[in-house]
Amino acid sequence: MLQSTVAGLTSGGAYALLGVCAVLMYRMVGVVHFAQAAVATFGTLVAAELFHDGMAIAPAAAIGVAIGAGLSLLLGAVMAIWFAQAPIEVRSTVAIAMLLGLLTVGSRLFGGSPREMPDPYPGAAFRIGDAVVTTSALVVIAFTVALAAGVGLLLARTRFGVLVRAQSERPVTAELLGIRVRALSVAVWTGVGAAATFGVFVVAPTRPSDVTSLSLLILPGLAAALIGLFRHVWVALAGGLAIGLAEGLLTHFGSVSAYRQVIPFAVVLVVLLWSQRREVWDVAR
Amino acid sequence: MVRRAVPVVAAGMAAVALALTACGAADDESSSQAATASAGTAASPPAEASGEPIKVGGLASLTGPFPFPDATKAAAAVFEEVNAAGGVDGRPIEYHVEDDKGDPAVATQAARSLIQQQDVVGLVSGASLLECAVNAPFYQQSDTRDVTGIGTSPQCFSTPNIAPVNTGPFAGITVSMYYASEELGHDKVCVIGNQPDGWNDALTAAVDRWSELSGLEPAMVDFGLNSTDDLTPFLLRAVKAGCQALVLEDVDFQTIAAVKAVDTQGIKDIDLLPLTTSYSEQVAEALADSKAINSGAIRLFANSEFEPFTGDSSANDEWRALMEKHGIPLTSTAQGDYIAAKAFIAALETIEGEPTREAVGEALVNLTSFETPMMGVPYAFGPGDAHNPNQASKFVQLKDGEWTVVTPDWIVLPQD
Repeated sequence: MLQSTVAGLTSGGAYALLGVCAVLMYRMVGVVHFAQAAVATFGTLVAAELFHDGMAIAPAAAIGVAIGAGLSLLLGAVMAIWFAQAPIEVRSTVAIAMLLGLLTVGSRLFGGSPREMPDPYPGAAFRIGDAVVTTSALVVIAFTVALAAGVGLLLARTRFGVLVRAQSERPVTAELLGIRVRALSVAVWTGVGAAATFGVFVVAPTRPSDVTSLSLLILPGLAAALIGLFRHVWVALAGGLAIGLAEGLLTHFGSVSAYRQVIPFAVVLVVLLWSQRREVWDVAR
Repeated sequence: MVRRAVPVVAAGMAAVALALTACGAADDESSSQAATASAGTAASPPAEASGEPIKVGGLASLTGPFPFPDATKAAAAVFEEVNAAGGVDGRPIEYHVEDDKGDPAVATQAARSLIQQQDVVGLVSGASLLECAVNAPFYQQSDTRDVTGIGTSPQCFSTPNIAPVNTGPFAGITVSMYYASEELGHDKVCVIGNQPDGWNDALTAAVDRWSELSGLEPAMVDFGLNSTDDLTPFLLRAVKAGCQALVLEDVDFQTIAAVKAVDTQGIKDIDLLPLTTSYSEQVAEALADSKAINSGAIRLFANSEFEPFTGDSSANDEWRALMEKHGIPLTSTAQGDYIAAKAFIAALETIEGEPTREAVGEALVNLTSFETPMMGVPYAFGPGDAHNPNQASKFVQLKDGEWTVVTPDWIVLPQD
């Protein structure tokens, strides 16, 4: 049982990273970024292709991350230019459109044939009894912690952070004060895109590596972000890990194993009910 | 702010999940282009044969969430050859291919367009996860028969008007478990796999059939795998259950992920037996560096529904030459399409008089033994309410990045 649960740690790490990225995107540029994992998948699969063509793993990964960042930059620019003043519902719907677009282009570009995924951190880091903690799980979790802590510091301590906060909370005021709002938000998109790409690249070898499967990592990722109410980075991180571990645990029990895919949706429902608990019916409606 | 995020996420996740898992609408734009492109290449112009063309339909998921981009190409190549050699009774075959895009609505439309508008006399369909399920009743109503190269869903193997050439996932599970228990000598045989909607009964029946044949009970059965799953917890459970052989009813991506998980977890002494979908050059290449496989800690077998194409078996000579001539990748799918087209032609050639849809249907019902060295048993359409004529497989093992045939003789499931 412990073995199966710990095996969920790699997935949990990926969910946690995507959850943290989702919270960051929501807080800093006001979008529920459904296409985050799809962008990361693009970068990852480009890296895999380069690796396949004989490039060493480090430069391939670097180019992959750059592609992920670049693609994110483009999407961020689209959002900043055409949907800057749009309400969050509209911006998030645009993100869904981006996801579907990327899936379409992705399956055309990368096709349906399987490929070897380069494994930057292969093997087991250590064992707890029978249970194996993989190196890639540790790397992803450590990276997510560093990201969460780093962004926290950045927002609290630097001038850049203050500007980002200003443009996210009062975009119009910030713009009137002469802050270059568009450039800032595009910078955030780029940075978060790079981080997500790195994470997906690290966990990709343990998962079915087609475009759709990897892009759909965003669903548990968003559930993790919801656990953090799209506000608390650390709670989202813990939530992502918890979802991964719960999936591993449920797989162990044959009778309930089939229901583990429901977890993210169950989490959404619970948070939805919880977050609306004080609403008066008419108002909530 | 959060109150606004929650409903957006809830609605958005539902939308995304629906779009992707239920109807696979994700691919709409690209697939229409692909459909026209491949229809263009597939509908070959008559070269030598003149006379009024015989229209044959083809339907496959050329694009979509589970695409088979090369489906129907081999059949098109066979028809092209037939036309170049004078056609059937001097009449060329006109092959109309439609792409169902993995979308039930499109599959319904495509079948109606082929049968009602193009007025095809019969179908030689390629691989699709839903074509049979969606169109089987319509084929019965319209008295159209479909010789499918690669059947996947239960309805391909359980309805009167469709007779696939391949073994398929269900007989595939049975024959793989049978090979594990009877040839590899394992008592503890397990199976895990995906369960698309409506597959449950057929999957269970496949395992039950093995139990009857072998007199054994499976040590573990779990058809709750999902395409996005990390396979590690499943494998650990199989090890705990003491599985000596684990049949994987999965897709190639999952097989690769499973072997990666085996490597990472240091799992040993288990035979993995994925189905035909994993028997490809790409999988061999992707797993060439697997420590677990190369050190012999685990063995990886796959069932080949036709004469294994990676060897240089002479049974495949004609097929291989034709595929190379037309630049079609050598795959199991191409073998299925090839045999389907050949069997269809064989039926057409028995018709005296006008090859109408009724006449073709009758010819197929009378086609009870089409011999080909590429299959372990003869192909038959024949009468009957359900067809799964291919009850045989050969097995290949992955060694040092190459597939090696380990059963020179066919493993044929005993008929009850």
